[in-house]
Amino acid sequence: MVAIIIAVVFLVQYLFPYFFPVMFSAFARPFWRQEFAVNIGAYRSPTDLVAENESLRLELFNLKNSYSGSSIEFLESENRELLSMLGRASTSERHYKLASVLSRPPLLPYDTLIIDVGWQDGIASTSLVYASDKYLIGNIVEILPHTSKVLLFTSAGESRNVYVGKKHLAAIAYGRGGGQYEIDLPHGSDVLVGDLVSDGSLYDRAFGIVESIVTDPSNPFEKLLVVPPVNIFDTRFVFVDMGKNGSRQSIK
Amino acid sequence: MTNDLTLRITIDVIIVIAVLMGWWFVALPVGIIAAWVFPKYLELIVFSFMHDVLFGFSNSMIIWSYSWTIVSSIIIVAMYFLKVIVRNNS
Repeated sequence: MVAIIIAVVFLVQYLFPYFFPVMFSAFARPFWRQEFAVNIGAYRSPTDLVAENESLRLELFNLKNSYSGSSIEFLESENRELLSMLGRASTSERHYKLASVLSRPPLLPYDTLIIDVGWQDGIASTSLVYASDKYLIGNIVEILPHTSKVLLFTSAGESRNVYVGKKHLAAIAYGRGGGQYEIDLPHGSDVLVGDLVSDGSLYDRAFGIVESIVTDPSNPFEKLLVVPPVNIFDTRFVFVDMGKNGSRQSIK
Repeated sequence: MTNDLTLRITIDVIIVIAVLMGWWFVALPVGIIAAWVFPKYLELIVFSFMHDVLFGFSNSMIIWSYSWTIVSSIIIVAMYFLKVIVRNNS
């Protein structure tokens, strides 16, 4: 009897791979939302929220005064101008969808995130996922109607082409699990702790920071341990790449 | 061993909530204790499957996608033989 039940369950899982995930995530979503609400402090008293609002307004006012906005706008317009001169100007901007992280490591036993957008929000499978300030951290691997599963590039077995250090040395970053990458480079690569690892895109975005270098005289390669620029265990919001004009079609 | 249905349902609810929240460090020890205390605690396999489906990569249909289901099956079988050994020795 037990064997028959197991066989039926695995047959359903094989033929309809989204049946059980959709069913169980429907039960789980209210719990994840409550946890998220607690994490972001949504249940704090109105007095606390008003006080925080006031302090953030003051901080924003001070930032506006200190930067006056002009320097950032100038750099952005200069970047657009240079890309245009080099024939790489984008006719349409890429669009990102903000998603809140419902569940994340270390509570999950894998380097995965569960986010609150799904194919009903226009998300596609294999969409890239960025943390704050557009740091590439992973891609979408499973999509359900209202939630998606993000596989972080730090997962064991994942790899990504990157550029390391000031010389932009081409290398492959392998996920180690636990929010770390490792990169093998030949001795004498002149890479230092704190050097930037970029994702190799046109905008040369930060992919990680060299945290430590393991050197073994008997090994011709030195091992770089790299961590993402943001702490993925503290990430509450992520950006999902929706493609140009946000026109990416969902794959159901 | 006990056949207290109320206790069994209470433990089930605790494990389900822990699984839904991803608190495997709660679900695992409570599940092991429940497998020892209750006869044929097969719910543990269902809860482990639920965990694998929610947080693993069950769509890829590789055996490691069902690691918790496999672990819980091993726990159930190990507890069964352990109980037999203890019963025969006492």
